Amino acid sequence: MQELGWNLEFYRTTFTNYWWYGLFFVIYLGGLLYIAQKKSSVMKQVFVWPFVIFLFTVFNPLVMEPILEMTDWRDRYSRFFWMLPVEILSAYILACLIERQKRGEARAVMVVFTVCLVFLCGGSATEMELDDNIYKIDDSVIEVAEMIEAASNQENPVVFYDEDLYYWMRQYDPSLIAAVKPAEMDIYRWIERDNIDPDEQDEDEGTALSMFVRGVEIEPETVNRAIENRNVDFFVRNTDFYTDEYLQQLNIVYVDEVEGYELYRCAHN
Amino acid sequence: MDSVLGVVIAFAVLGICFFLLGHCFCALFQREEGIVFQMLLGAVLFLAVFSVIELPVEKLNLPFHVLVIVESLAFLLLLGACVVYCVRSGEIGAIKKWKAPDTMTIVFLVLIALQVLYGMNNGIRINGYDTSYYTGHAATTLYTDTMYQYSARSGEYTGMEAYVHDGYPMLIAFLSKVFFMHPLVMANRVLACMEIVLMNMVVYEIAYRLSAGKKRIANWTTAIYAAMSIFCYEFEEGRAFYLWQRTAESKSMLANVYLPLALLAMILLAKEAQGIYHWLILGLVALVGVSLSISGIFILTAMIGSGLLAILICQRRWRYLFNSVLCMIPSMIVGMIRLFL
Repeated sequence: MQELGWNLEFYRTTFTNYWWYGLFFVIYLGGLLYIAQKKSSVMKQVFVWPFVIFLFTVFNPLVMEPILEMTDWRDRYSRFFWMLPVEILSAYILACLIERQKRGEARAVMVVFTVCLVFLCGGSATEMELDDNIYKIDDSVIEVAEMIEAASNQENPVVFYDEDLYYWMRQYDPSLIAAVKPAEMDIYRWIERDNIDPDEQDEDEGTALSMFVRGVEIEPETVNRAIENRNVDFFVRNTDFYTDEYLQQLNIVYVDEVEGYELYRCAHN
Repeated sequence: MDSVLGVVIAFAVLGICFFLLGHCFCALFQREEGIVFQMLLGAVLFLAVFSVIELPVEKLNLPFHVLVIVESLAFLLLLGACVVYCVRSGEIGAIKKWKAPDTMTIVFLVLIALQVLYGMNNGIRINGYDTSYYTGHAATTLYTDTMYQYSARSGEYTGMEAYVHDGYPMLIAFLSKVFFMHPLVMANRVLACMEIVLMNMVVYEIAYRLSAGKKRIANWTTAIYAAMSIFCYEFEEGRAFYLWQRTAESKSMLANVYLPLALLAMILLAKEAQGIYHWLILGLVALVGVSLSISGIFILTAMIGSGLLAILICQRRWRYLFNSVLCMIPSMIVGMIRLFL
């Protein structure tokens, strides 16, 4: 298969990444085997037969590889595992096993076994923690948006803000316009700030601004030029980024601050 | 309305709408169903009606307020008809004779309440990148009165994009407009709670049907499923990952509501494929899943296709092939329109 250029490793990795320790999948397979030898026609029709059909179709690399090549759906292939009712069937089988026990002690043992199994098969739950606000977003997003609104006399101010704010600001306040385009933001989407090569800023303005909003100190002239070209009204500085000396070279004037962010008004020539 | 009370009110109103729609649908086909199933059916009907109206309005590039007006009128007419039917058929009198819920029902309600409480207070920050598409488009739609005409992330005008959108952001926007809510509250609170509740109802109903009406098994299944789900939230790409972390996204609804609903519809069909009642339910589930999730066009179709093939093979009634094609046609049309127009 490798000689044909077909990436079978992809299917193995997708499977193991999706099912992690694989224990729920083992319970599911056991359930399918159990159902297959029972007489219940409904269970066979709903659980066993579709699984067999899946094995020959969507979970068959010979069938799927050409389709994935054509559709560019490789990164979404794991979603086909959602079709398998692994958790539902496992939970149902365990529930039936608990209910089948007539004696209280036997039932208690079965419950303890199920609890242990869930712990063993799963990871860890999160602690209960109250959210900052009803919007279920970070408070800083709201604070920065309110700070811009108070300082702005424009209906749709154009703003430079960092990656942490970029994907949240317009969810909260759609009147804001991001100075950096989404395609430009995507250039360094998966790259840590320290791994960005500053020399790439010479490629084009979009690349330079994409690294600028991630905290890389690019040529001040590039930022000042973008402020003019893109009619940028405000710059929201993440206080973890940029030195004071660098900021002094930009055409910006301090306005206000909240925890973690400072707001600057952009000066236009 | 951007408060806990507002969320409760919106949730209660949606719940009543679901119940009325589901109840009248069952009555139309003279079926005696439990309240859980009626609510599920109502939710599917609600989303199906929304999807059927949303698609042409979106594709005709009409302003968002047109969608709000048409959807509101459609739902007012539909719900009005349901109320009139309930009054005329004496159903209101039956509702007045409300019996106290039994222990099993209380256990089920407590299970749901605990999960909603956990889901709303688990301290997990939702993925910003993908959410910015869904809630971002909903917020931009409300602000600009256009549908998918502006970039959700930057706000720049893009016009008609060659991007394949689903109807979920517009559902968030429509409900936000109707309930005077911020789209973030609608997506992260109301619809998130709705997803948790619907998911539990589907799991309950699946176990209930498989066990031939044993409520204890249904409750145990729901509880074990919930525990599995909570302890698997960090397993990337799994259903639970989307349920507890990314409820604002349409794929979360696909993984946790539409696909289990398709499984439930398959169970109903495997038990009774005669008549159009169960075929219609399957068709509606397929329509909703395909309309409100782009991934659903492929995944839900593959699942339902395999399920139907299994039923055809096992029952050897090839005339069901005609029913299968017929019940999938609306969702296929919607899928084709979404992908190619």
